[in-house]
Amino acid sequence: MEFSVNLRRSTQFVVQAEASLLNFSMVGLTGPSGAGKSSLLRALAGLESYASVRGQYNGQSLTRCRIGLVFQEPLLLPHQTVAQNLTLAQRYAGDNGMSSSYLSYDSVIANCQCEHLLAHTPAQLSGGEAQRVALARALLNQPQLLLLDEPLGALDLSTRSAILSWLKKVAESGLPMLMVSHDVTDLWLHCQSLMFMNNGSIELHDVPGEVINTMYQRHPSATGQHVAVLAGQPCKETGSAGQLTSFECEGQLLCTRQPLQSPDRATLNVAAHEIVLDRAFTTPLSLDNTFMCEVEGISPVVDHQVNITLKRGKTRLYAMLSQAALARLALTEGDTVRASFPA
Amino acid sequence: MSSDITAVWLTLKLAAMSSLILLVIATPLAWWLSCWQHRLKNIVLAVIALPLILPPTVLGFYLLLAFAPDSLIGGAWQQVFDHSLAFSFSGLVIGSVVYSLPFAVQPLYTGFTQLDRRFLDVGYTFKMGRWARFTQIILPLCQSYFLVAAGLTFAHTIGEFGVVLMIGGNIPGETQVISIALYDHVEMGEYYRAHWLASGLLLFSFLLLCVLYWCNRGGGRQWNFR
Repeated sequence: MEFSVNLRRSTQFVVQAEASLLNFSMVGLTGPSGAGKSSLLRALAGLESYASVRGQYNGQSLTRCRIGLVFQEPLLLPHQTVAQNLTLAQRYAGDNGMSSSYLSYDSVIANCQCEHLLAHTPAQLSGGEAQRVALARALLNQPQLLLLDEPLGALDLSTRSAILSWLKKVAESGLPMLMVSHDVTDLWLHCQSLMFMNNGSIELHDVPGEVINTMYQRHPSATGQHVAVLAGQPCKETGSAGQLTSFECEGQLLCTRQPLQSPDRATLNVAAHEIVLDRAFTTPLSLDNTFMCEVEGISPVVDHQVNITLKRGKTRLYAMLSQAALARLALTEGDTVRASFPA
Repeated sequence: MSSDITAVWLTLKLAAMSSLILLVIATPLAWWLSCWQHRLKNIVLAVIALPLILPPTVLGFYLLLAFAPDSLIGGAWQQVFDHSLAFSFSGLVIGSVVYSLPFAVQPLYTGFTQLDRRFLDVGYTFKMGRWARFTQIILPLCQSYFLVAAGLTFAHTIGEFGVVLMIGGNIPGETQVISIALYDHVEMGEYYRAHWLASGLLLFSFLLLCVLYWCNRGGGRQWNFR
């Protein structure tokens, strides 16, 4: 898919974005509020009459494609029940050429966890329930391409990750998705590639880890608590560690409590405040994981704190230290340290 | 007494036809007004609202001039239908449509401006056509405004007097509506028959307004308008 969008929102703000996505299933889109992400999605879906949209998907002009959009707000029709909302979308469904049964009515309702909501009216739903119904409704319309504008923000963590994992499978089975999100972990775990949008244009487009790292370096204050995702091949014999899964990352053995993303991919999210650094590599620690790595960068001091970027191979970690701790450890760029963190 | 029944029947027919025609005209007009942004918009709104404040005789006078066989509209009508527009039932319908236009446009305009247009965006992304979006989304979401528009135009047409007198006169079975027949009875000193018509109109108008207020409780905001 390729697209080029030009949309003048005001004299100061113009969305001018282009990208070319090859063989993609799930692509992330992130950036500060007001960067133009929602405008871009609306323009791609054909909802901005003043936008000039050019592009093609599967050899077909974008303006002729069935492009679904899940809005930030659920926007369920209030005069209909949940079941009627879903039936309406189904009645106007097209043929997106997907042969798998992922988007059958029963599969969508079950995976979006809407079975028990069918008889309710939208006014009776909680924010998260309404978002799940809105997602189900968009999927039942059988689009060829699905745009998701922070579709699951109101869901609890475990439901969200279950639905996202399922969506990823749907995307891989032939319904490509472009997802806007501010959640670094979601983007990292579920997207093949990530676009970073700022001031109306797409500034970065790369694998999620690289884009997120550049975001952290360029906009340290806007991005909040830094999080890294470590990933690797799970080891076969994991029974001894109880619920923990061992996996190998940059030649070092780590363990995680998180469910496997796929049989050959284990992941571990590590937030900056969870990391303990030391330079005496022999002391045993109560933390489950230790990871040898090099100091790649040290941020300027803000509020007596510094962000340290750590790297080994292609894997990065982010640690947050007080100014005093930085002085105690006498860290400089290029030093090898031991990072310890929970599983 | 049979002439009174004829007048009631004629009035109901006039009100029903005017309301129907007005809904067909006012719906696209109000929709266009709710989307239109231009500095001339206030002038257009004022023109549509004119019948609200003009004395009905003023409107009736100009309509009478326009309906005259030697005028452009009246002449053309005479050519096509071979009868005069003035002092005819067709003339009354056209007069009522002009006279009640603001009563149809204003509730619909309010409904359309309060409608959250993003519901229509949802319909657009589902590839619903314009007609489907109108019947499946706009009509049910603005239902109470349509009911108010229909009810008000119906009631207002029944209460018409000045315009009818000017352009319709007092021809039983053709242009003699209830209000004119009532006036006739009073002129003739037939107070018994006047009471029947007057109390009937009073009760009918009261009941109709009660129904309208009941339909419009919460102004349709029980659904999530913005």
